Order: sequence, then C-alpha cells, then structure tokens
Amino acid sequence: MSSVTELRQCFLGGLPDESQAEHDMPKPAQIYMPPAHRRALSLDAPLVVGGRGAGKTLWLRALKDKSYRELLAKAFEFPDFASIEVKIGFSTESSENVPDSRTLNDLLRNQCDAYNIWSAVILHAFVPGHFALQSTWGARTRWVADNGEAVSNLLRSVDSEAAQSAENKLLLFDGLDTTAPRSWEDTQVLLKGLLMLTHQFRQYRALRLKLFIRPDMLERRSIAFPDSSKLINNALKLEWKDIDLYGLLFQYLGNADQGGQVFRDFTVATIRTQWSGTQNSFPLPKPLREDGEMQQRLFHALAGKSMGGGSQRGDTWKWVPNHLSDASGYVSPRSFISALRNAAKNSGERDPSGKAKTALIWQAIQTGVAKASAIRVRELQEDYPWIDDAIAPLKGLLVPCEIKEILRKWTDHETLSKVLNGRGNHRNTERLPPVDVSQNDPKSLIEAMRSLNVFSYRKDGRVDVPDIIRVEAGMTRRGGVPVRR
Amino acid sequence: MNNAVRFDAAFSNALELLQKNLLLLAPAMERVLLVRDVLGCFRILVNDSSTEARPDNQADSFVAQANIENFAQDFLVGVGQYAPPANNLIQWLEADNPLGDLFDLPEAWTPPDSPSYLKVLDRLVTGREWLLPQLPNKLPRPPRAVFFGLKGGVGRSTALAVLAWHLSAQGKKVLVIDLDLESPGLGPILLPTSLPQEGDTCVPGWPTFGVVDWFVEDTVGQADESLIRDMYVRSPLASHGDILVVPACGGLLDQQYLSKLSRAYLDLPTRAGETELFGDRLACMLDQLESVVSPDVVLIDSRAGLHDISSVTLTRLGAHNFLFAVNTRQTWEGYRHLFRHWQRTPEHLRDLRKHLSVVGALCPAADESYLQELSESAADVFAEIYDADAGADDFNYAPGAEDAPHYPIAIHAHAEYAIFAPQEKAAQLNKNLIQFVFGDFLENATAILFPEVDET
Repeated sequence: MSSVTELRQCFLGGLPDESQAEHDMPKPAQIYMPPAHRRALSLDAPLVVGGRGAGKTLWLRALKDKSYRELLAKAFEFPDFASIEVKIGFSTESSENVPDSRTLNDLLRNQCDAYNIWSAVILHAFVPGHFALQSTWGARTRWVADNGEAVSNLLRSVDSEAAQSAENKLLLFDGLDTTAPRSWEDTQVLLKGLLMLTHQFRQYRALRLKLFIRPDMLERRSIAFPDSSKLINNALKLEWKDIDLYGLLFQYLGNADQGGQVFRDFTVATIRTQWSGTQNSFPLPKPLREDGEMQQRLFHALAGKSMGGGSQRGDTWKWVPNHLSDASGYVSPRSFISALRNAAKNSGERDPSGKAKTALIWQAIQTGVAKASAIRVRELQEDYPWIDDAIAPLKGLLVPCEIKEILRKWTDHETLSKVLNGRGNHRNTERLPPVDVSQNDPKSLIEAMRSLNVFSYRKDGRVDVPDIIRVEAGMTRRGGVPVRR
Repeated sequence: MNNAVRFDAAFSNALELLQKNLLLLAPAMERVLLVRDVLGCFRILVNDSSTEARPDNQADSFVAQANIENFAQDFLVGVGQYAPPANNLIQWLEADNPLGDLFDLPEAWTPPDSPSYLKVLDRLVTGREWLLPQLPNKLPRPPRAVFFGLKGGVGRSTALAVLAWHLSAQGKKVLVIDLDLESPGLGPILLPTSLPQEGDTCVPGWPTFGVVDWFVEDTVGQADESLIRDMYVRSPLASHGDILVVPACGGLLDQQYLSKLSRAYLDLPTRAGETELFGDRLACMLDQLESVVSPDVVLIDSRAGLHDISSVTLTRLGAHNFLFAVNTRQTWEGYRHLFRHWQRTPEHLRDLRKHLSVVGALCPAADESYLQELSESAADVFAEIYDADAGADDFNYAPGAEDAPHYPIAIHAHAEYAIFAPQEKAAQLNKNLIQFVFGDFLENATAILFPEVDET
C-alpha cells in the first residue's frame, strides 16, 4: 500500500492550486462531467443556469474548442459534437463578430429593439458574409427591422441546408449580466429580446442557441413574454451534488501527472476498483462516478471515517461538503477542491514523517475547509463586486443576530449608497448593482443577500450566515465560554 | 417593600461593588472570597498578607480604613435584606485559618471579567454537585450512558430499554440501573410481572433489593458484596447477550420504600472528618456493581428535571449523556438555566460538553421541518456552552452540523409505544417497527458507546 506521504503528494500535484483554478483551462484528462451537466450540454438544452464557479465558462470554452469538443464527443458520448460548428453570440471576451456593451448601449439609445439586435447577431453568425454592405451593428439591426420576412427565409434555408448535411450550428451566449453594466433595466430588456428569440428557435432542426445564465438573471422583467414558462421550466441547472464533487476530486487524483499511478493503485488496494485508460488519460471508473458508497469507502481510506473530537457522527465524507455549503446547500467545486488540497498540505505540516494512519488528518481537513471560505467569497465578488461593501462592515458581528444589528452597521458605513452607486471598493468595475435594492429600503439589501444564499433566516427571524462566508468575513458564531489562548 | 432588593439584583450589586473595591480589601492581591450562605446572605472573606486595610491595624492607614467602612456601608445597602447577621460583612483571615480552604473548593468560581484571586462560593442547599468535576476512575470501566430529560413522559425509559434490548441482541452484557428513585419505571418494563405465591418474601423474578437499599445500608457500613448480589437479576427480554437490571425499588414485599428514599440523598461524614457527598457514594455503588457484574456497558436512567440525582449522573460519572428534548420553550429554558450554571466552571465544562448528545424525542415522522427547527432551538441554547469568538479549532458548531452535540438524534413518535410493556405486547419489539421509530437513535448510540477503531 502506498504511503500517506505519496498520497499527499498526489493531492498537491493533481489538484489545481488557487491561481490555476482561476485562470487555466483544465487539461482534457482532468475534465469531469457530472450527469446533470451532461444533460445541460446537449444540443436540446437552450437555457443553462449556474452560479459562480458552477462551470458556465468552462463548458463554454470546452464547446468552443475543437479538440475539447472531440474529447466530449468521445469520452462523454456526444456523437453530435463530432461534426458541429460552434460560434459565440456574446461573452465577456470582446470580439468583432459581436456587439460589446458600449455598442449595445448606443443601439438601445437609438431606439433599436433588443429582439432585432440579437437577430442581427444571429444572422451574422449563421449566414457569414450576409452583412457585407452593413458595416455597423446599427445598420445591421435596422436592416433586420425592415426585412423581417427575409430574415425568416434566410434562417430557414440555412437550417435545412445544415440539417441535410447533418452539420449542426451552435451559437453560445455567456456573460449576459455584462451586456449593460450598471443598468438592470437595460440588462433585462436585452435578455428578454434574446430569450424571445431562443424560444422561437425551437422550430429549427440544425440551428441551436445555448445561453449560460446566472440564476438571478431570470427575473420577472426578462421573462415577461407569452409562453416564456415553456423555456424557463426546461432550463437545466449546473448542479454539484456531493457525489459529483467527489467524482471531480477522484478524476483529478487519478490523472495527476505525478502520483496518478499511486492513487490508481490505492483504489485497487482499498476498494478493488481498476482504472482503464490510455497513456495520459484515465476516465473515472463507473463505480466512482455513480456509487456514493464506493466513494465513501475510498474517502474513508484517505481521510479516516470520523472527524474525531469526541463525537462519532462527523462522517468525513459528509462533513466536508456539509461545511462548505452556502445557505441553499450549494458547494462550489473550486472551494471543495481547494479545501482538500489545503487539507493535504496541512496534513504534511502536522505529520511530516508520515506516521499518521491516513493521508488526510481530520484537524487538517478543518483547517482546509476554513481556508476555503476565502475562495468562495472571492468567487462571489467576481460576479457581485458590491458584496464586498455589504460584508466589510459586518466584521466582528456575532451571528445569528437581529436584522436591526446589521442595518445599524450598514447605516454607520453608508453601505447602501456605496452598494448602489459604486462608491465603495468596486467603483471601477463594470458590474451590475444588486437587483431590486433601493436606497430608501435598507431591508432590500438583506433580501438580496439572502437570495444569493449569503444570509439565511432562522425561524425566529434572526439572520444567520453560513460558515463558508462567515469565516472569511470575520464574523463569529455566538458562544458563552471564554476561550483560553 | 417596593424597593426590596431581590435575590438576583442583590448578587449583581454585591459583585459589582466588590469588583470595584478589590484592591482596597486586598492590596497584595492574594485571596478574596464572596460567600453567599444557604439563606442567600453575603459575607466576604479576605486572606491577604497586606494588613493595611484591617481595622486592627494601628498604623497610619486611617484613609484605607475609612474607605473600607464606606465600602461596607454601600455593600450592605446594595444587598438589602441579604446582608449578613449583625452586618458582620468582612472577615479577615490569617494565613493558617481553615476557612481559607473554602477558596480551593472545586465549586468556587471566578466570575467573568474578574481577576483570578476573586472567587464566589454559593453555599447551596441542594444541587451543589452540578459544578463538581468528574470523579476519578478507580478501575478500567465499561462505557456508561446517562438518560436525562428536563421533562418526564417523553419516552426516556422506553428508549433506554430498547437500546438495552438492541445491544443485548448484539451479544453485549448490559447493566441497567434505575436512578429515577421518585418514580421508578425500568423495573416494571424489564422485569416479569408475576404475582407472588403464598410464602414468598419477594416478587418472583425480581431482586430483593434496589438502589435505595444500597444507600441506607451504606450509611451503617453494610453495602457489601452480598447486598450487591441481591440487587440485580436478568431480564427475560435479553436475547443473545444479557440485560441485568438494578431497579430503584427491590422486590421485597414487606418494605418501607419512602423511609429509605428520604435517607438516600445524604452527604455522610467520614471517619477522617471529611464529608462523603451523595455523588461520591453513588459512584461507589456503581463501581461495586460494575466490579461484580463486569458488564460491557452501563445504561443509567436519571430522573427528569434539575434534581440532585441528575447533578451527579450528568456531571460526575464520566458518562455519555443523552439529553432528551421536545421542541418546547419549557424544555429549552430549563437547559439554558443548567448551561448558564455550568458556565461558572469552564474548566469542567470543556470536558463535559464533549459527552452530550441531544435526543429529539417524539419527533413527528412525517414532518421534515420539525427536526430542523429542533436543531435550531438546540443550537441556540447550546451556544451557552460553546466557545465564544470561536476560531476553526474551537468548540462551536453551526445549527446544521451533524457532528455537533446539539444536533438531534431522532426518535419518532408512534402510537404503538404510548404504553411500553414489551413483555405483554410482542409487537413493540418487531424489528421493522423498532427500526422505523428508534433506528437513528440505536445506530448513533451504539457508535458513541462503542466507537469503531479505524482499521486503516
């Protein structure tokens, strides 16, 4: 059996560290696709919803890149992806083939209709060269507005051509929360136009749209059109259940450049599960993808059964995701992977000679999980920069606490106006303020925090904060016994 | 009497005045003890090598003495009717005065925000053992579990009997002791109910003696091994392993139970001139029983409520405590009083709190949100005994943390168990029904009492 030191090395070498997780595309062998994501990627799922860190950008990039597409087609049985043309309709990366937020703003100010703007974008993508005579998006949108019937005919003929040659065309949209920085009104108008078009695209056989959307984007203004519920109810979520998180972990470990072999041998020795693969790529064996009990046994072999500390109920396998979850129970994969990487690192520091029974020591798991709080808060800040201004004044707060305690701190720090007017730490970012928050109703910000699962309510009406946020935000849980230090 | 200073106000006034004037009383910062006697009246004992403040000091410290007199006057006003007899407030002790030993009593505690040379001693009529440390282990001994509830009638004894049955089915030898002396219940549940024949001196199938007998015999030095052997019998419910039952009241037909009961809680003077507390005696009985019976595990039914018996069983026996709770304010306010009292001695509490588990009694099976509400209420009250300003390594748990002491182990409500009499009603020991009602409890209690050793 492999030594605990070798296994720790495998965690350190196999799991991406913080900066890699943020910037680098995972290598093909590291890609893991939970079952819910497989459904979301299929060509028949136009609307895909996922929070920060759920994988929206990862899948967008993977679909855009031919070599990743071939991998998806083979490893995850998407035959459609082998012959498909993929383009981008909007994303946070600027491109001359799509209008950027400044252009979109001009178009809206010049009375262009959102539906027509996106029609022009789609036409430009699916019928290359069509707009040879119209060099600006303004001119293209006006042409679309004046030639409705021609647009329909063009798309229909492209669709039947593509269907005959069995080559699907897919247009991807991401970052739709950045189409109109600082204006929810415009963002929602633009999204509504795109959703209406997406709804109509059901009639095509080979032309497909796919929208990756943040959950808070789908609100009453954007979905106010006939039959929108058909589209919204069929939206697919990029979920990460516990079993998916562990699947991702084991995929990384089994494909570590150094130590991958050690880990694969370890699974043979502990749970009698073989890996089959080619040279550099070892897909996760089926039992480790689908069987929670097998995952649990393997994780127990890595981390021990219980979290120690007197109680027998802290099953390590459940404990880790439970303590990383937000108020809705969601765990971001990046915080999960980072917590366990840190746990391995910290285990090595606590037990340098490798005498411990398990690679991960439970106290080190606690440390790793506490550190992951910083990662989750940073993830949220990337999407919601204002959250920084809302959380900072709460440092030192004892939770759970009365709503009025939070409101008092926010008043003292003029939090609402910082959040709404971008006067605080996020003044240089081009991002939306929180939805439905108004200056004269401070409680609306509490509600906004709750809808992001950063706050939750206790039965008695007090506000609580999950550990994954609380630790980094410097709040403490109530307690009656002074600590000896 | 509108301006009467009531009990709790008197204490906070006394403590506040004393804290402000500590250096006046004890410039050398050695020992100051605030004593509240059994009637609730205050006295201050000072044991300090500096003599400046003492009234018998003839030197030139008039100022200090005048200040002391002012302090004493303020103090007596502040505590109202809780002033000591003859207003004799401060006692100045010489180094060799035996009263100085009071300072070292384990239940003397330092209030928060006070220096460690100030302690408070509450002379309680009952329940003084709530703050005493766990008794030392004399022998290697089996795991003990105490079943406690703030309120009776929530299925505590039933759960104990079912756990005994479950553990015996796994081949364990289980010793069951009924300490609910005021309303004994385990004997009738676990022992046969046959009528005595003519000439019998004892109920058939029952031991002659019970727990109360041990206490009266112990006062005259007769609690010997032969008594112990007449205190337990095998329960017919045992399967595979064994269930040995020590009832509160033995089967002796001609006995004066109440006369024995009223003598059970005595603290006894020992020959060495010390006092043997009720808790010491109870622990002694337990040690004796364990050494004669050699059980694999001991299950103890403590009585409901904040009674002396529980002060011993919960804090002093080194047992794992199952705290039964239904989600009512009455339950949680009771636990909160207890936990606040425990806060006085954090050094004992730090160990004790590791051995607590909430049991959610009578949980409605169909109501998922009940357990969540119960765990939130429990977390709120348990915060009293969790670490303040907790960091990652400290003892403090989120409401939903399933490894937390407050996180309820569920026992479902079920009409079948309204009256538990498994000897008459075979259906009550139906495996599937037991699993449905008690499954979570049996699994967790077994894991706590017999922790699995990691084989890796």
